[in-house]
Amino acid sequence: MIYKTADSPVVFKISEKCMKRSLRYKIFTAFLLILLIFTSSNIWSIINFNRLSKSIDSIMESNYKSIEAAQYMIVAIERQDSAELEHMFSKSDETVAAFNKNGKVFLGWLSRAEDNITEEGEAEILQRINESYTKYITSFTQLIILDRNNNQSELNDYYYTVILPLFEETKSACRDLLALNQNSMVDRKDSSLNVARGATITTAVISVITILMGLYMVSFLARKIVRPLYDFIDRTKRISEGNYNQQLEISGDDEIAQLAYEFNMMAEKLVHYDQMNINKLLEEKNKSDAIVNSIGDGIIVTDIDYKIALLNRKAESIFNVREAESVGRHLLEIINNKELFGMFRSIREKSEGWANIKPGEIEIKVEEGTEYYTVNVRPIKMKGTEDIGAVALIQNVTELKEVDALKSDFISTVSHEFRTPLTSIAMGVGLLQEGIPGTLTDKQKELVSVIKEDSDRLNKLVEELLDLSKLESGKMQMDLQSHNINEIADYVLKTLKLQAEEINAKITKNIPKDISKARIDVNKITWVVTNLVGNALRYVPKDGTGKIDISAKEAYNKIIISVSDNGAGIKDSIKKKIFDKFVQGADGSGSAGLGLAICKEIVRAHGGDIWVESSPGNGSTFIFTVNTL
Amino acid sequence: MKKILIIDDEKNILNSVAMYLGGHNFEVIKSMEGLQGINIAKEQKPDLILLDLVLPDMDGYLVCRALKESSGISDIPVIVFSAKCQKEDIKRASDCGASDFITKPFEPKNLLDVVNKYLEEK
Repeated sequence: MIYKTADSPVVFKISEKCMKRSLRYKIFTAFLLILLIFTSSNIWSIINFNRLSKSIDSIMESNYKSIEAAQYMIVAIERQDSAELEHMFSKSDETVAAFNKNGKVFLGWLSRAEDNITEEGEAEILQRINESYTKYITSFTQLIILDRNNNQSELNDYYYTVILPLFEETKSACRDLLALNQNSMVDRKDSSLNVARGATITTAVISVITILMGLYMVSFLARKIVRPLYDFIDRTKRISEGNYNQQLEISGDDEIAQLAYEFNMMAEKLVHYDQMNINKLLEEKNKSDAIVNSIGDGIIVTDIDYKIALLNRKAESIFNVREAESVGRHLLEIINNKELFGMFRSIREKSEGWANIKPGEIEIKVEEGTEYYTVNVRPIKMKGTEDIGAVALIQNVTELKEVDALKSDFISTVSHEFRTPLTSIAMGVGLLQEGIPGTLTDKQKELVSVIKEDSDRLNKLVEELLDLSKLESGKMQMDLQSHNINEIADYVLKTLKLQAEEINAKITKNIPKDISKARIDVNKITWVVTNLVGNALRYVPKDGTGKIDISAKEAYNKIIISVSDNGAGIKDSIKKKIFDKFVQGADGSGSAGLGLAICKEIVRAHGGDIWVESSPGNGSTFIFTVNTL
Repeated sequence: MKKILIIDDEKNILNSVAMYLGGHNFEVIKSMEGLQGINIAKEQKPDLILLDLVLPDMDGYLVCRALKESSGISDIPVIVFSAKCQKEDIKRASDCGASDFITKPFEPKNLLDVVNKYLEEK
């Protein structure tokens, strides 16, 4: 049974059949086999012992008893013989008793020997012993009878001629019995030795076989259990390293196979979960890709080495490149636009204070003309790391540009169209005021001066509008030269002296003499300072307590110029848009509200910033920066 | 009495300037067209010419150049007065031989000062 596919997971049940193939069963079987071999070896040994003991027994049974009997019989008959001889000389009854006693012993042994006929020819020998002994006994009876006759010589003759040969014959027969059994015992001993030797060899052989089989089985089991475990260790290690796609080979259906099956299931599930996570991530990525591609502006992302990491669909069409061919390659290699690259590089160089980086602009030639794009490059920051790259937002501003150009043209045209009637109005007013067409009454003069004032205001507005439109369209060139801010402040003080005296306001200057020179267009910056001080004059108290201060200081290659007053201050709602066009400070007296807008444009054209610090009741401070050399 | 030729197609300006200068004791000749202005200048030889740059028949610069290149009148100072006031306009006018440039609108007094300045020089 091989369980490989996850699609049709087979529930692993330990059936009875499986039981038979289970590892436990295998171990049990192996040990049983070893036990069997061991037992059979033991049984074999027991059999051999038995054989040996039987062999010894048989020696005991069949020979030793006969030998013992033969020996005792010899002893007994010899004693009988001695008793007989004694009797012949002593004629005492004791000798007869001794003869009879030993006769009984002899017969006892004889009967034992007769009970234990084991060897071939033993019966005949015993027959012989029996016959000769019977004769011997009878002869002794004869001897006693002869003894009664008291014939010593006859007695001696009888002993030597009848008894002694019988004694010898019996003894010899007994010796034959002894010899037969002794020989047979030797034979038996040899066979016992053979049995023992055979048993030793077979036992040794069986032992060796048992040991070998035991070793084989142990090694088989070890292999069966341990080898897959090594594989397990290896695979588990790989899984822990994140490589989830691990499958073990399953062979058999024992516990190891079962474990392998479960392991494979687990690994498959891990792969599945991993895939699910990846899918989720992919889905998220696709979503963000879709978002990025749906954005109507171009987006380019590079790493810190300016290698392109992302380029959305709009960027593809702007630069006529393909993202697939661009990713991983250097920005300049894909988009040969030095300005664009310069903006990316400036981000790297100004990694601090990048918030001050202003959007750049690039031009791209297309069939229909030139398209304009603003490029906003920002570093990509991740928590706790260095910048990991930069992202650029590229917006098509061609239409805006066109609208802007249209607006500039419009303002320019309108201003020009205003100028002609304004000129004749000014001429008319001049004529009237000088009384050329005739003398005017005081009332008429008053009216004419009102006309003059408003025509001047209109005139100024037209001028400012033109300036602003030029500044905004970048048509106004800044003639940057190094100048001392002190001189500018002095000029402004001089210019506005009369105006300040009219309302009894005090203008002070607070600029270090040795302040660095600023790199500025002197006319434009003078205009800015004049405008700021002029504005301040309009808002300071007119009761003689009005104070205005022009100050400047140096910091970080910048000169910070501020004009502060003790006027009414500016409301927060106005503060935000005070530099916008047509915004007036408070009562709206006088200005058309273009002055600060122009100031802002001029300062920006110098690469500086302008802002106001003010709160109602605490006066206002207008601050702007310009660069030093 | 000094003679001043004014060439401008804007009737109101032409008349008011003429009236103003007349009020300051100048003899004023008016023309609303470039070619006509050149002819008047040739015929009457004014002491000073005020010239607008935008004219119906021909470009003011061309008029200026023509005046400066015509024999007998080339030394008459030409003062351009125009609503065109870009740097390049001023430079171009000067290249065409204009003596000065007054941006419209102007203060009548300023005009008078400039006019007087050139007439006194003469």
